[in-house]
Amino acid sequence: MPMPDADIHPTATGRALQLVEAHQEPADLIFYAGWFCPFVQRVWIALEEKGIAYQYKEENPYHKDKEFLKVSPKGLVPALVHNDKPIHESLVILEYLEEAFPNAKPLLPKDPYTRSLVRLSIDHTSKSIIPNFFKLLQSQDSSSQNSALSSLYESLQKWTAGMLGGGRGPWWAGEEMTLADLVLMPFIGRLYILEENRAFDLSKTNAKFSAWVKHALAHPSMEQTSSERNYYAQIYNRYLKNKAQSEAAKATRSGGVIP
Amino acid sequence: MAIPDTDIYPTATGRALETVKNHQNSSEADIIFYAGWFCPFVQRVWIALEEKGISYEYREENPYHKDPEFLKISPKGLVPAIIYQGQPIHESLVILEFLEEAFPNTKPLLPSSPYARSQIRLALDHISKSILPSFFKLLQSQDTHTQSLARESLYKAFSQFGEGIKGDYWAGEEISLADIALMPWAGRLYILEENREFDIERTGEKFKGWAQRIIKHPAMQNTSSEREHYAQIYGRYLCDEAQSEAAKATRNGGVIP
Repeated sequence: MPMPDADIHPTATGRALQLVEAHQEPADLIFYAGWFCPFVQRVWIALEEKGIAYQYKEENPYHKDKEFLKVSPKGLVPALVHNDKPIHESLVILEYLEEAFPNAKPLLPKDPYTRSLVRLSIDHTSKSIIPNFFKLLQSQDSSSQNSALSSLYESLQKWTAGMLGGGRGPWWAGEEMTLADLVLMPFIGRLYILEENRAFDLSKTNAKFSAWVKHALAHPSMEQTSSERNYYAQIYNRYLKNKAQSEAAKATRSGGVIP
Repeated sequence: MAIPDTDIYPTATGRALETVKNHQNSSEADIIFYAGWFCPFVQRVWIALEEKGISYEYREENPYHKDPEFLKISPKGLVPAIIYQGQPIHESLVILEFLEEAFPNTKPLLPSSPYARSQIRLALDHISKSILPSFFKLLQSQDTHTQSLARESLYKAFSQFGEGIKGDYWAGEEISLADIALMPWAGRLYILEENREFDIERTGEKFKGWAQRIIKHPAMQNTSSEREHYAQIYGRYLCDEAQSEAAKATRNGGVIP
């Protein structure tokens, strides 16, 4: 039986489609993406912010194409091939881009201590926010949903409390965008799904977080890498019914690690 | 039921105790290192400090005490944590990256090429997401079916790590974070061999060779205490560093058939 998620809309739409069309020429860096994937969007935003030339290739991770498995062993997106060498895992790619393109706009501060604070924030996002996000999305009964919702608010509160410079913003670390913002932004772009279906209420977070959300959602590289909402619905409806077959969805169901 | 912290021996012993005694002088130290002598995540940082020759003051921190002063340094009260120039950092992998950046004139534990660094970080990712959850699941599961599943997953995960080994060390001829992040667990395989029917032959020649070599590495031996004292601890998951859903699920009882 074909995997339900293999039938998703085959391309980006809206603003994202324009960006895809502008990145079809061969380049030293090939970016393997799923237009709908929040982990992909992290890398996509970074490439745009840093002004790195890339060739965008749509890769449906549910097809598990054999050639692609040579690039990304678990068949997951995002992946990239730079000067013929493959890398996968969004966070590993993000650190790689910082190091391989030292003349591009940095997304990490210079000072080692501040960099460690940004990495601690990323660690918190990975270990607390994202698992709670998926748990809330996929939980079916109201008791699990309430519990996941509470945990999500708490983890967002903690994230905000870690903002540097007393959280004056507009970004997590202050004046400049860093990976701390970028790793969370795609999930913030999907908060509306939780608002519409899981009673998530942004006003129950705090003023600093709301201000950050508003600012991040309006940021050009966020808007330019986002497709039309109705196409995301086909995918997220499966998560809402807990029938999604992504690695993240499966891990959330089994209590395993989100890859 | 015994209160957990009465079971923990209060200090390092054996070779590790010698190392602790040599690192009690705070006036010269660049780093204050908060450690639990028994903790594998602590041992990662301890090995790195030793390899890099960074001067540090070792402070034993019992994670059951949840000392309010320590909570200011490490918000969840977890070890390892360090203080550098008055500023605290926790999380072993974050500390390891920090040491590379803050001490550029010491022995590097990452290669210089961005691509080679990315491959080591992929190995770290594999350790965190595949190896450690299966290790802890095998250690903590009570029924044989769950143990059997975890053991098979662990063999596969170790074997995959082994496939990437390029020399005496993971990345080739030099030790790197890929070795250091996993060494403490190579040193604890005997617990699984003695209690969970773990058979290292099932991990493949490359992993087996690496594991047998790495536990003899000087920095490993100098940060290891006497085995009898670890016996009181394993199974307790005291450092609670791994916050993966698998680790949480393991703590909450895991899969019950």
